[in-house]
Amino acid sequence: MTAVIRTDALTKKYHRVAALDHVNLEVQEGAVYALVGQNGAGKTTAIKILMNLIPASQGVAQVLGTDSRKIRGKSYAQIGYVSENQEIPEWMKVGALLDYLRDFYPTWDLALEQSLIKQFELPLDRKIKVLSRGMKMKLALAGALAFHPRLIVLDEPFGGLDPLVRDQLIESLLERAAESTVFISSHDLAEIESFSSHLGFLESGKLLFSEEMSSLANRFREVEIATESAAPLPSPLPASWLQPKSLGALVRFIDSRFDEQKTPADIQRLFPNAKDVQFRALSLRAIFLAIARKPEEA
Amino acid sequence: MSKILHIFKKDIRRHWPEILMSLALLALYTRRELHFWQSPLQYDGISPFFFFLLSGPYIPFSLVLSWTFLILRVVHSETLVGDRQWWVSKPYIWWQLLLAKLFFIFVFVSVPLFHVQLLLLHHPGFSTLANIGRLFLMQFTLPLVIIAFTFALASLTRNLAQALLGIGIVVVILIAGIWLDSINSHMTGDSSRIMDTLESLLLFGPLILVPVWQFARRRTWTSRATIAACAGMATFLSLSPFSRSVEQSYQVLSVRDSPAQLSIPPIPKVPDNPSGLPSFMTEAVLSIPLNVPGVAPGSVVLINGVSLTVDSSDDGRWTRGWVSQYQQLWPGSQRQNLNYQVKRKEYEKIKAKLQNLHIQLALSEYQEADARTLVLPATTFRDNDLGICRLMTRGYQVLECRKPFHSSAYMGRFDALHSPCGSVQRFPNSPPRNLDVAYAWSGPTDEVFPDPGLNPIVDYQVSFNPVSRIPDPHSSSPIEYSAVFLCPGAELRLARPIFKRRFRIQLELPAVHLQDLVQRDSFGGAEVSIDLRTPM
Repeated sequence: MTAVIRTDALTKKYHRVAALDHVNLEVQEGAVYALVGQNGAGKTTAIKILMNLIPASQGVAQVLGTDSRKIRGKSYAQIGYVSENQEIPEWMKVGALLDYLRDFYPTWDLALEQSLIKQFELPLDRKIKVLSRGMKMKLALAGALAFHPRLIVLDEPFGGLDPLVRDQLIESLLERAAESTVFISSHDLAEIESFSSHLGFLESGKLLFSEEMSSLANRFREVEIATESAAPLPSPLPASWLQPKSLGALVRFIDSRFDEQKTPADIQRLFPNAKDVQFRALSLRAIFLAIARKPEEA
Repeated sequence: MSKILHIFKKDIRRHWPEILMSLALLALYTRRELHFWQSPLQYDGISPFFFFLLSGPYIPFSLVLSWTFLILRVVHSETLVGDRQWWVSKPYIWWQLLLAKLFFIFVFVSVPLFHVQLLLLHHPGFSTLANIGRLFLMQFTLPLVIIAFTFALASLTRNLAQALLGIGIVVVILIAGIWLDSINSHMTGDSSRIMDTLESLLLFGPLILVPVWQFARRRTWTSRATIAACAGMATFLSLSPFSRSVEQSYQVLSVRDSPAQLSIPPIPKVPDNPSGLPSFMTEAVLSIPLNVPGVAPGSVVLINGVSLTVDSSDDGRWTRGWVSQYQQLWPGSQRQNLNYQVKRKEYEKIKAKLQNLHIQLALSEYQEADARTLVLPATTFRDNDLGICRLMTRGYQVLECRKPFHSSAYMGRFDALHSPCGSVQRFPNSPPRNLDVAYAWSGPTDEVFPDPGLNPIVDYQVSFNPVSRIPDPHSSSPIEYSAVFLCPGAELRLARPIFKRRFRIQLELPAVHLQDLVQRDSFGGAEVSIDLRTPM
């Protein structure tokens, strides 16, 4: 598989503040890559650099095999980019905007356009400025999908949308996922979890990890140890054990490096009086929260 | 090409109200320019409101404003500043977008203006075919400056508010430049052609190149910094004394060899003026009388500049350097006054002490060529050199003329004594000895480029003015001024001025008090009263 997006020590500084700090990222062709992180983590900055909307301070990025600094003009004919804070020409009518866009893309699929219009229930004769936020997002997505882009880049597409619209957008994305690579930034971890194949976690401009969803799900476990009697937590605990808590005879933590052999062995060593140990898989949201609270050990 | 037209059509759909507004103002402008010369002050039959609407001086300004607005709006519809615009992540090819915008401006600004200019040329009877080349050249003057400036402004701003801020900054810089220029009022000689070219390149080069770069790369701050740096350098060059000095441009001649035998008459002692200069005046104007016995017939000598050095044994020397003047010396004896401003502080310090004044004059001489006589017709007439002219109905000594692209260069002479026209005397009882000959002058200009403007027809006036004669030293009458009248049947001698030479002469005014030279007329001195009579 070839990398559709690759960054090498990508850095963006605003004065002395690093919005992105030496980010190394790789997105393989066909992946649905979700970039998650708190507000201000640097997700939008990363996407804007990849789209050549702003320059990087250091490092390089390649998108579809092209240096991101050279992405302009025809390069965008292969990229469907939608951002929540994009300024759409609101004076246009929905139909006029799609008509206008059509001529720019040699691969524009009229049948797909019609299908998306139907699927999203877009009112062709209405001015964009009177549309709801959800409708505008659907229109932007229709414009970004109708030409079979090789890469779909979505920056916080679900923010502030009602669940029905979110489902519609995700559904249409999943339909396209077979032919495109999707790179999406979002807070909406529940939806991301349902269709992402890969996940990258940004925290204060640093990429803490970037891996497949299945590997991530396997790596994180909530561990609950029942001991014979209440005792203080032994020290030191492995660094990969996040949020350890002692609740009387019960010890709970999240292991961010779960291993079927090593983790039980470590528990046996540190809690010799353990009488019951339970391992539970975590939701993406729970992983996100655990990392957000103690990112360096993740 | 199809993409260019695609964007162009979208812009028409978006900006039709602005297009209509600019075309409507262009129509008003056309009407005003077509009819204003014919009947400048007649509004019989229409209400004052409609008269103002149709002929108001606001029209050219509003027209330029509407173009500015149109250009700003059309460029801002795909604004190049910022990273949130929808279009920047779409497959726009930058040069196609640039050409689409330029094509829009060409179609809705340049082409309509060009057609109006053709009409304005044709309407008074000037040949459009013969003038079409110059009309094309004219597009590279004011229209290009307006378009290039606005286009550059639009490409470097995100919206109208930012553009207005940009215009505000430019206005402040212009005012600062004018102010700096005014405090640095020294006259300079010819500026070097290289420096002129460099200044023009620094001013206009970035206006053309930076928007192209901005369309190609959208590096707004780099583009803004480039424009600011170039404008700064051009201003620095224009204010710096890089031009040739007056001494280099004007060769020294002795007064004896000069075509104008100038001399300074004895300076009468002014009795002590207890009030002195008004307190608000920060400068004192020295007025130095000059007697001119007259230049050779068929010549005119212009006083372009004066330099005054005050030299006294007590206070050393001081000078303000060369100061521009504009005075004409014609055949026949005459009196001129050189005006020279000095700092009031300096003046007050030395006004009562005896000083030696060294006066240098920078002069240029022109000679007439192709002289001819024109007998003024009673109605509007056509002249090969002057264009279309008529005797001004509200003036007595002025011809109103119009000509494509430039006003004419001319030397004119009118002998009032031997004309059928009357004259006006200021002092009806004194003999009319000063009411003899009046002269008109307009110097030759660089005629390669048309005068900057929107209208290819240049309206100008040929004004015949009498010269001040040297007063009779034995007469107690004050200096007399007079006005001459032109009338149908008057014979005018007209010629083309040919530049002959530039030169510099030095005059000495020893042992004089500056307070005897200071000009007081405008501030409580002799009052000027004019008694005009109806021409005969």
